[in-house]
Amino acid sequence: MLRAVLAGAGYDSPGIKRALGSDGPFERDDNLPLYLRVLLPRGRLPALIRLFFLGVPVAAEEAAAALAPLSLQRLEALGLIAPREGGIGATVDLTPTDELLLAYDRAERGVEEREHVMGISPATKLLAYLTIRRPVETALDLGSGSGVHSILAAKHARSVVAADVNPRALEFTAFNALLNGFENVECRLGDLFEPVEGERFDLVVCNPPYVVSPESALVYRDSGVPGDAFCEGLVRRMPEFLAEGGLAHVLVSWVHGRDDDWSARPRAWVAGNGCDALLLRFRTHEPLAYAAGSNARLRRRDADEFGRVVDRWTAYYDELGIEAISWGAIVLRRRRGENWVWAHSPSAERLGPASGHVQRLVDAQDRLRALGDDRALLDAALALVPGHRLDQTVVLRGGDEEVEASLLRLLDGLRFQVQVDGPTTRVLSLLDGERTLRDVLEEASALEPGLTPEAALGGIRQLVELGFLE
Amino acid sequence: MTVRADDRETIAELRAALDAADYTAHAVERLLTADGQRVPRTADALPLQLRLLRPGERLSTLVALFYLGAEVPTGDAGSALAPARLDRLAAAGLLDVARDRTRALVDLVPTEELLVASDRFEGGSFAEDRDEVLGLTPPTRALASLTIRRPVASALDLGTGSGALAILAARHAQRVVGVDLNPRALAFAELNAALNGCVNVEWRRGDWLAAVEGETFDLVVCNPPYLISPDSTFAFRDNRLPGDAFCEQLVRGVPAHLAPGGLAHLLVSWGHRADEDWSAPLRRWVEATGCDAILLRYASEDPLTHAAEWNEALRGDPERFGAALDRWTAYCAELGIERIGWGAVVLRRREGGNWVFALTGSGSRMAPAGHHLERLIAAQDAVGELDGASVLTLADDHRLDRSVRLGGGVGVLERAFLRLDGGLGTRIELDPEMLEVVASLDGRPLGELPPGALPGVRRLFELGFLVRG
Repeated sequence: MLRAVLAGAGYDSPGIKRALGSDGPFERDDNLPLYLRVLLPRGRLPALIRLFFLGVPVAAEEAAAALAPLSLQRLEALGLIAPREGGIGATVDLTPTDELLLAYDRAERGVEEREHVMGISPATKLLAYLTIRRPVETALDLGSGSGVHSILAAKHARSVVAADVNPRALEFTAFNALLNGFENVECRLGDLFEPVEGERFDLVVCNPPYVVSPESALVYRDSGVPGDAFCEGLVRRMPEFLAEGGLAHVLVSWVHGRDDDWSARPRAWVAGNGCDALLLRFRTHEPLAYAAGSNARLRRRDADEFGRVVDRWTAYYDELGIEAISWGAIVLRRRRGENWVWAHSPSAERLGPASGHVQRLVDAQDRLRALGDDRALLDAALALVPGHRLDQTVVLRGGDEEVEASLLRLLDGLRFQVQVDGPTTRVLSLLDGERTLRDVLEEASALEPGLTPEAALGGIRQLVELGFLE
Repeated sequence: MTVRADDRETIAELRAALDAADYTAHAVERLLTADGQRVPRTADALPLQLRLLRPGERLSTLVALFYLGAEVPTGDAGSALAPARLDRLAAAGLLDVARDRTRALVDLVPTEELLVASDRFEGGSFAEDRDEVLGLTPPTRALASLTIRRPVASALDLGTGSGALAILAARHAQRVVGVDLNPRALAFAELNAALNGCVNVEWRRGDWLAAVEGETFDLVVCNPPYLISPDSTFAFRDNRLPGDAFCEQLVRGVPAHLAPGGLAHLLVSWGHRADEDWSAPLRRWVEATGCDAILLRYASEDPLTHAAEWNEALRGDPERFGAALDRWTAYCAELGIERIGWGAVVLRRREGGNWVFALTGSGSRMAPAGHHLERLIAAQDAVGELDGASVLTLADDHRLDRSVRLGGGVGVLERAFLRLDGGLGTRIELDPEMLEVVASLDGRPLGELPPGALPGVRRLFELGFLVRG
């Protein structure tokens, strides 16, 4: 009923953006006075936005009118609203995303509280985007928090288990599942894998407390385990809970030396685990920048305390010999036979919904490993995926053009970008999905004297691996 | 507290110490970099910035003192600043020296071109009048980038503040007058002239144009307190006339101080109604001034956004922030201001029928754009004379950005934009027909182009993409 009331009032992502005159991101602490002045003074939607989006009390009559036919008593009994100075106040945030409506703890309740249930962070979005969405029987959301990943999985899994060590998180997960009309999410209380020992799933999603820090205060952020041992343990045990062909998607942090190959450590975690693995690195931080970035909220509120925390964190890294901290995602697929590992560094900023793209990356590895030698690619009929663009900067001079920059981009998914030279551009424009690469290279060599098939093959292989060519 | 520039020996020693420690824009930036990115110079960045420094090291000590405003051990300050003596730097108003700890009383910010001393500006109080002197703020840098730099006899910097624009003008003008009403500004300007080895500026205290009664100049630059606001707190920001009246007065008053052919560059802000073109008020201001005018808009916004942006410092305090928003928007409503524009007016004094050309800047405001502005002026002077025999070619600094879909042996062009590399960053979308016309401009006269293409070609000429070949 609440969902119907909110939908009836236009309480959704576009409606809120319109009402607040901004495309977001919304800084609800800082910009509150501004938003209150942009909002129309009266009306159902403005009242609901004040209540559930901005966290401002609304006069009881106004709240009752905005929520009718739901009674305030029923919502109070549900624990969603409470009397406050100035009328009625919400006890949770209700935030619409493109697909869902989610309740979570109001930031003002204090993200410093141990059992705080986080809203949608950039990391949440990242994991939601990366997850391969295909119809499956069973799914597991490990550390479900507000339940966003459980609910997204519930759309394409027959049944979902949401596990969390924080009972408040499970209350939110259960509530959000119902709010979004899903009855196939089962909540289980317990530490990590404990509630699902002995079970196997077709899909696992996990946004764990991966921050590498000396702290253990916040359930949603700190694991309380030294260095990256927590993420390592998680990744090492994950295969036990995957059915054959099952996929796990985990956000992780790991530590390494300044000049080390970033992928060495996650490679060791997945070696011999019976799974194929995609290792995606989004960022690598210096210890000081990592400590500062992880405490950005504190930095604005209390400079002295911020300084002390940063010193404690950097001393901790020194002590453990940590010179760099990387952040990324690991995708595992359980598969009998000889397994592969592929590592790459996409940009987290450019990421969009990437289910299809991640699937393409897995398929490309399967295919290339099956081919063995790159030369076998010559018999393949390849074509660029439709969602690509070639962005060029050129200077026109007397009828000729001089290409200054040439960047091939994927418009969706991980939005990879690759510089391409003239001969490669020629080859790409000739590929049509019917002729073999061998034929195309032959024709291109005639037009581009500098082009040799051997040299072109490496570039083409890379474009297959990155999901540009199918 | 005011700085003093009379101890030239100490100022020269200070400059030598800064140079010896490589206190340059590049080195400071490199030092204040975390994760490969420069840490922005905001109030809450200080704890992080301090931790990027190397205690006791010379450049780090100077950055702590003059860039971050932090205290350092007096011993470190003494060795980093040698041969300049701490007591003499204190006497010049630059340092506060205690037995153990020393801190700077001014900021010293190096740029590619200058070293600029200014007050440390730590945000807003609305209680009292303030006479802070700011350094190279983004608007000052935008105006410096926009200024047409050619050798002239005389130049005027009106409202000189730290003196930076006058000192830059002194590099291509024989004689410069720097005017300010704020005596603290003139003290900083003198100090900056000494720090930057500039000797051909006359610093003059006075009330705007009244200070140069009866004089004319070949070049005028002016970054006035243009802000449209109900407040009159900061000398560098607020003026005491309602709305945009102060800017209007300046734009109308400056032409009398321009020599024939002389150029004035003024940053301005103006209010207008939502249903009129942004340039309408500016066109009224420059009417009958005896000047050609380029009206450049950087941005425009509604009064609430404007109020929020300029009261950023109050964001942590919802009540005061909200009250400021109400006060500022009520002020705009009372004056009938529905949109607020910000940009620059460039005037050239010329006898005869004058022209006005208006455009919106779209690129970085910090890229040197004087050459582009000169091209816009030349185009307006010539656009009436174009005929079928005229030849136009693409300017050397043009770039074509195009987006192509590949496959099946062809590339399908999706979009194409023409822009200038640098300058005002003007960018314009070309349709396939226009793209073909542009590509064919290799020396053929306009008469040979399809007649339908002429208005578009003329527009590209006016924007500086095409030049006479």
